[in-house]
Amino acid sequence: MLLRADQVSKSYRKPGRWLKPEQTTVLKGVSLTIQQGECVGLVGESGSGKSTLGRLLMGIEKPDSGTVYFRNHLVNSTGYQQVRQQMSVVFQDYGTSVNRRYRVKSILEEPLKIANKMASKDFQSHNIRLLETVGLSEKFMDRYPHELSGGQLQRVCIARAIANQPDLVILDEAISSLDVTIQLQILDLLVKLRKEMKLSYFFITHDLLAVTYLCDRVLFMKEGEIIEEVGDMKALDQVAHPYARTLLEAAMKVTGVTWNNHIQKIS
Amino acid sequence: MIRKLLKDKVALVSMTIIFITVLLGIFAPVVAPNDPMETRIIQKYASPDREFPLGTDHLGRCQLSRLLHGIRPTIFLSLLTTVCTITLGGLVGMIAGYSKGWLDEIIMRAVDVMLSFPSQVMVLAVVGMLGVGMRNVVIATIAIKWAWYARMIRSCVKRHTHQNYVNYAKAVGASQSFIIINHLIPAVLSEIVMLASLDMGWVMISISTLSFLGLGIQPPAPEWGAMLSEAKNALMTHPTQMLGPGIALVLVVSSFNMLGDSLRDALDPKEG
Repeated sequence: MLLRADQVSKSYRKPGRWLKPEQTTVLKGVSLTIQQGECVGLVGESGSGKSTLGRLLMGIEKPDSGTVYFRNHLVNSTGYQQVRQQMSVVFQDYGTSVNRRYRVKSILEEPLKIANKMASKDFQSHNIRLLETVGLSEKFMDRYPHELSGGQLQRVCIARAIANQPDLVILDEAISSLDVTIQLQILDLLVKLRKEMKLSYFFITHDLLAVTYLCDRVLFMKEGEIIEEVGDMKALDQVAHPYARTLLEAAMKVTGVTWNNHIQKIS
Repeated sequence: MIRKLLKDKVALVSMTIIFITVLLGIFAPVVAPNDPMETRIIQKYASPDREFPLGTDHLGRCQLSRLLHGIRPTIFLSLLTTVCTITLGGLVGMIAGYSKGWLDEIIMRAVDVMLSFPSQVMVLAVVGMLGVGMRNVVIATIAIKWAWYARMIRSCVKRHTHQNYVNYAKAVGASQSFIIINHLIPAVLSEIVMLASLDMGWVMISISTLSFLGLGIQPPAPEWGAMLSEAKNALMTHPTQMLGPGIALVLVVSSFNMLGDSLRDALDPKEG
């Protein structure tokens, strides 16, 4: 088992209340597992707590209660630093995901420097290989983030995410701020990378269509709880929970096809 | 960044002015035509001529020599003050911004208190307590200004720690020191450089103001503010006396301000 979360809860203090703090509960005891090589989608509307869950899995924040294990190591325990380098992340907002003072090559080198596993003379060839993998040419190497388009920059972010051969990549709304044609390109890239590198994805999104394109399994989340889990994408139209149905019907309305047709078309 | 700065004409001019002024200040004893302290009471308020290129003041001292020697206290003390203020304020701001929680609250409430006093009045109060003199003026200015920097730098650190690229570094296991050295310090530093060059002008004026009021540099030592103060006594009879130190101050202070503006543009990778 690659990643296991057990009953994680998280609440935040409402801002601005200094003397009388008020809590908002964002996650109410969420459990999930991700197997090696699996791609799990997490669907929910904004504010449902899915990005918070992502941050807890990454270990950027600590859960109030519950545990997260990655490769059988408790996240953020002592000695976890080595293990966590096998996890990576791509954020929604590519503009702030990279330090805008860095050139593309420094962006790509950052995870290597953190992991400290590669001699710096090998960086150059490694960078070229990474850029080629995500479909960018070598000439982007010396550019600054603001000289790239959104799609290109998100490709750079993906390249950075796979730079130190992770097992799990958390995609936190990774395609949501791109336009539709670019979304499809990035999804294709993700599918390709997954095959080549045997990656696992945890794909956080509000776009059910993208989930069907990429994932093996999908979790529906509402108000901090996982309300339904669908293990087989072909059975997606069997979802029972009214909220999941609403999402599904909304997605179907967009495509104008029945769900099964859609599944067949992409698979 | 430097290339961008060199392309900017305003930056180039202001840097040249500052550079020349600093050079003149360093080599003042060599460059100055006369001894700035030597009084010639018969030749007081002399018009500019070959011996005294800018004339003499009310004690017959050479104006140009005094201006040149005045660069040292004016610019170098401002520089010292600015550097100390930034180091102190930056350190406190970094600690507050990075630590969060109760430490942050305590530091920021202290800063709030400091900032709620009008700064010149506070300087006067501190100088009043510690006594007149240049050292006390510098201490007073540092004591007032650090709070301002602490707040700016804290907000800068806070803004950057919430950015996704810091989140990413944390997620892939970067240590605290890696994040601070590689992301936070460069980000904060460019902001500091800009603030500092904008603030240099303020500090110079502040030091000159205090000297003008007779609290800073004591006569007969030459300092621009003190020179203005002496010239003020002869405002009616010899108004040209104020021109030398006045123009010099305006020139250097505005150079620093313009340089600050240009630096801000140059340090922003999105611009130009």
